[in-house]
Parts: sequence; C-alpha cells; structure tokens
Amino acid sequence: MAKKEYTFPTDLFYDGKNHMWLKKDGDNHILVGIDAIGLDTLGDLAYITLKPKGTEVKKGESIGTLEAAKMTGDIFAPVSGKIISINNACVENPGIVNEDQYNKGWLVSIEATEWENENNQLISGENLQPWIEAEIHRMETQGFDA
Amino acid sequence: MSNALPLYAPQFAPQTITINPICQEIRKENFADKVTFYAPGLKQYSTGEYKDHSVTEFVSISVTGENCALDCEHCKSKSLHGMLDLMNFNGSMYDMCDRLAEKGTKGVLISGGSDIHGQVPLLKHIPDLIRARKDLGLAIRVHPGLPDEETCAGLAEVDVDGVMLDIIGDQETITEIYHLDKTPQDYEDVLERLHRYKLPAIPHIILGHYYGKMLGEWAALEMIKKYPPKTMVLVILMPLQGTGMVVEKLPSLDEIGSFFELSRKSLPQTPIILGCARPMGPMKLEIDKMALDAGLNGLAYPADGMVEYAREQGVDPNFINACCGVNW
Ligand code: SF4
Repeated sequence: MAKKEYTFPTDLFYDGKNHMWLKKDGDNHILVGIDAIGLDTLGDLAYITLKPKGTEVKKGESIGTLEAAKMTGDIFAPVSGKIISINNACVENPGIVNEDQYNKGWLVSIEATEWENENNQLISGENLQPWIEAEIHRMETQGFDA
Repeated sequence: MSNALPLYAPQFAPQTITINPICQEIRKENFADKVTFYAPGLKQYSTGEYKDHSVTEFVSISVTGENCALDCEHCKSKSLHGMLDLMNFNGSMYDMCDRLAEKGTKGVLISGGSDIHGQVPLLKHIPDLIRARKDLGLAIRVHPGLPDEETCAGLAEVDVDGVMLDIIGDQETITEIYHLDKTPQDYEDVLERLHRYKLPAIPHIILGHYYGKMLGEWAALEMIKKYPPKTMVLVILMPLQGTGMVVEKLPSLDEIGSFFELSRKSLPQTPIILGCARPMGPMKLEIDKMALDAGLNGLAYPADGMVEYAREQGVDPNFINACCGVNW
C-alpha cells in the first residue's frame, strides 16, 4: 500500500492530542486550524459551528463542533484565552478547510492568556518530525497496535 | 468545490412537516417504549448527549481493501475507505477477528467492494467466519451485495446477525448508478433467497438514490413487504465528496417524511431504523425529528438533541455502539 504523505509546515505549533495547528503572532494572537493528520482522520467536512467572538475558553474546552465524513464531535481549544475572531467563510463552506487547511482554512483566532505556561505542551521545532512519524505509525496500525 | 456544501449539509427552507400521529400509535401497539441509537465504529461520534462511543466495539472489515469493480456513482469506492483492509493484513479473516476480539471488539461488519455481478466475494471467508462466530462469539454482519445460492447457504452456516443489502426498485438506478446488468426482479429474488435460507435480512432503501430523485423507493418497499425482514433501514442519498455525482436537489423533507410514514404503516411489526447515510447539518436535525415522530425504532448517529426529543415523546433512549439493529 502506498504510504500517505502529510504536510506539516515547520513554522507552526501543533496540539498533539487533537491535531490542531497554531500560528502565533507577536501579540499572543493565535490562529488555529486542523492539521493534516487531523483532517485525514475526519474526511470531508460537512458542517462547522464555532463559539462566537468574545467567548473565553480554557485549553481543552470545546470551541465548536463539526460534522465530517468520519467524525461528529467537538473542536477543542489548543490554548486558553478569548476568541477574537472566527472564520465565517469556513462556517459557510467547510470544504475550504479540506482544500486549504493551513491558510484559508483557519477556524478561529484566540488571544492567548496563558501562552507562557501552555506552549511547552505543544509540538514544534525538533520535536515535530518524530511526533509525525509516531502518529503515522499509530494510524497505520490502528485497531491492532493501539 | 461549488457543490461541496450543498450536498453534505444542504441549504433548505425550514418547514414544519406534520407526521400522521397514527405512526406513533403503530409503534406503541407493536413495540416497547424505547428507541435505540446506533453508532458503529465507522465514524468517531461524540455529541452533547453522548460521550461513550467506542470505535473498537463494532468494526468494519473490507475483504477487497479499497477495490470495487462497480464504481457506483454515489460511492466510487469511497465508502470502503476507513474500513480495516483484510488484503493488507498479514493473516486470515479469523486471525483478524481474533486480534480484534482481544481488543474488546464484540461485532464485525464484513464488507468489501463488489465484482461486476454485484457480489462481494465472501465465499472463501465462510469457514473463518463460522469459526469466529463460534469460538470468539462475535456478532457478524455482512454486506454480500447480491448473494447467490452458495453464498446464502454459507452465510446460514455462519449464523450471521444480519445480511445488509440495498434494495433497488428502479431499473435506471440499477443501470446508471450501480452500472449493473440486473433488474429489480433480481433484487426481489435475493430477498426470497435470504428468506428461504432463514437469513436475517436487513434491507436498506436509499431515498433519492437516482441523482436525488425518488424513483424506485416505493417499489423497493413493496418487495420488502413480501418478505418481512429482521429490520429495515432507511437512508438518504449522500453522495460522497470526490465522487463527482451531480445532484441538483435531494429529496425534500416532505418526501422524506411521507416515506417514513408509509414505511411505518407498511411494516407495522418490523423494526425500522434511520441509517447512517443522510444529509448533515441543520437538515439532519429535522430529518431525525421526523423519524422519531414517524415512530421509527432507531437512528444511527443521531443529531444532538434527539435523546431529549425521544424522552419528550415518552420513549426511553439507549445507545449501542454498532450497526442498526445489533443487540448485545
Ligand atoms: S445504515 Fe445502519 S446498518 Fe447500514 S451501515 Fe449504517 S449503521 Fe450500519
């Protein structure tokens, strides 16, 4: 079977548990989306709801829900903070996430309030490659190795 | 891209469809006051009302991997993605079942792509399935396509929990969607064969199967009525993204509601379940409510809010992490 290839831009942070990507600017504003393995596990997205701008969230809490070919469930905040904007284009057409997950397919922007404490739980830099490999192995052996 | 959203989570004009209350009466007369929600492992599922889903309790296995000779318009083999691939597994069907059972699996759906005659090649796995049923106690569901005599005889020996197949009552749908050289009569013959071998049939009717139009659904229901099955499943066309199937319009809520009503009246004593394929998003919520209003006995992957809705109707909701009608 052909090995699947996944794209993981190296300038991003990743929430290893929920497969979300995070992009940080200088003001602790964090753009959040779904990473390549996350999207592969979901399949085609059909429907997204996101909590409104201004909502305060704790890391791990739900910031919305999604329905996709292979999943119905919550979208979890990868950091604590306040939602400062949501991507309405994706709410209106979730197919954008499938087409361009790292750019136009971002979901929310969060103003992080505990970045200093929480960022060390994210994956980035030299930890990225080993984590991707371990995740691919986990997926390929799912059901037998889990 | 342009049709990505409308097909999956269609825009629809909100409307209230009133379902004939007689449907609820029929359910009450013939069944206990309960509704079962099903969540097999094909999809991860978690809502505000249900968090105990397990993807390992009931697992789907494809005997052909992602290969299928039919290339049906609404599927293009995409529904085989995500099933465990027996062809790439280092071992037999029994070995796979054994490994799964060790991990807590209680039931399996043996599926796969079809050959050009519409049959899923299950025959060679029959001895393994007999053993898996006997030694491991797994509930075994099968998707045989259109099984011949020999396959039916084999499945009868397995003691399968259910034989699931789409029943098509319209020639154009068979020819153009399934690319099959068969007739509606062939489907009826399969129902008769399953009945003769005392196999628990679980026919599925796909509403809007012909590019979103309702054509052969009534004829399919008539055929099923002749051989009352263990359970009947209704699903609604949901062309998978990437199949290229062009659907201008899915069946309306009105058409769907009327078919739910007719099904309940036609098969008053047969459990009828709304299966997993159906539009998502806001339309799903309305469809699911209609299913409960129409006295159907269960729903697969219910929309959030259905547990509460069932309780308001005085029925007791329960969940099973498996395909429609499985019980353990
Ligand atoms: S409709 Fe029900 S029985 Fe058919 S595949 Fe889906 S969950 Fe299983």
